[in-house]
Amino acid sequence: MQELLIIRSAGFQQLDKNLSEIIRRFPNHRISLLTHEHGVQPARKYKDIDRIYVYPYTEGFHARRKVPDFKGKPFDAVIVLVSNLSGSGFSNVMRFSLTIRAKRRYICNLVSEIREVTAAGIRMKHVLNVCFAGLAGCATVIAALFATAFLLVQWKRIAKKE
Amino acid sequence: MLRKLSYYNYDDIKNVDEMVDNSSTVANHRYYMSFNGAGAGVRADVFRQAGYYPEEFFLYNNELDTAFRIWDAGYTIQSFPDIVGYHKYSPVNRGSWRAPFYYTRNAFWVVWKNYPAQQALKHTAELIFRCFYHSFEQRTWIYLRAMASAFALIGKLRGKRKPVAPDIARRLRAPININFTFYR
Repeated sequence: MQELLIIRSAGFQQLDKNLSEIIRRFPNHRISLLTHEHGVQPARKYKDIDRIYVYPYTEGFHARRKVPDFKGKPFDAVIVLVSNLSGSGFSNVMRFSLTIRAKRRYICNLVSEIREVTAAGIRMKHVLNVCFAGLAGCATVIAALFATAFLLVQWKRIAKKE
Repeated sequence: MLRKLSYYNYDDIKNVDEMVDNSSTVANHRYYMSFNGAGAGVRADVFRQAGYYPEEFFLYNNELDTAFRIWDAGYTIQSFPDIVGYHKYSPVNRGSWRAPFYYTRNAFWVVWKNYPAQQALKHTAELIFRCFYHSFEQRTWIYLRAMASAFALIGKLRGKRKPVAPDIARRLRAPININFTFYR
C-alpha cells in the first residue's frame, strides 16, 4: 500500500468533488489529509480518508511553517488542491509541499485535472515570483504612501456616528 | 466535452449514528471563524442587533463583514459538522471577473470598516501588495481595477466604519487574501 497525502488548500466543496478522481487515479494508495484545525471534523466524515493531520497554525500553508508530524515521514504522492485551473496563487502551498518527503507532487485543480509538478518547477516558479514580489513591493511603497494619507483624511468621513 | 460529475459525494460519508463532539465547535478553537453564506443559519435577533449584510458590497465578503459585527456584538459563530449543506457550483469553472473583482474590492472595505486604525493601515498595505503581485503573476488588471474601485467608491462607506474590539480584530480568522486564488 502506497501513501498519498492531500493538502487541503481548497474548500471541502472542492475536495468532495476531487476525491473520487484522486481515488480513481491513485488506486492502492492509503489517503491522508492535511487540514487546518477547523477542518478536522468535516474531514473525519470521509471514509476514504485514512488519516488526518492537523496543520498546527492559524495562518495559511507556508514553507517556514512546517508540520512536525511529517519529520521523517515519507509519502509516495502529495497532492495540492488548487481552487482555480492553473494553480496560480498557490505558490506558497507548492513550496510548503517541498518540506514534505515525497516521491512525486501533483496539483489537482477545480475541475479535478491532476498534473504532476516537479521540485525544480516549483523552485523556478518561486524565483519568478520573487521577481514579481520585488516589483510589487516597490509599487506598494509608493501606493501605500498615497493610500495612508488618503485614508487618514477619509477616516472621519466614514466613521459611524454614535 | 463535459465529464460526468457527481455533486453529492458527501452523501457517501460515514455518518451513521454518529455522536457529535461539541468540542469541534469553533468557540473552543484558538481563533474565531467567519461563515460561508452558501450554507449558514443566522438568528433574526442576531441580524437585528449586529446589522444585516452590507448592501454596498453587492457580492462577496459580505459574510466576513457581518461576522466582525456578530462577534463584536457578543455573539458567537459556530460550525456544526453534523449538518451538511449542499451548494452547487459550476463543474467547468466558468471564468468570471465578478468573483476576483468584488472579493478584492470588498476585502479593502471589510478592512476599513472593521479593523482599528493601525491594523487597517497594515492590512491595506498588504492588500495593495497582493493586488500588484497577483496582477504580475496572473497577468491581469482585475485586481488593480478592484483596488481602484475600492478607493474611488469609499464614499459608500460613509458612516459605516466602526472598529471592532482589539481582541475580535486579533482573533477572527479573516482570509482577506483568498480572493487572489479564484481567477485563472
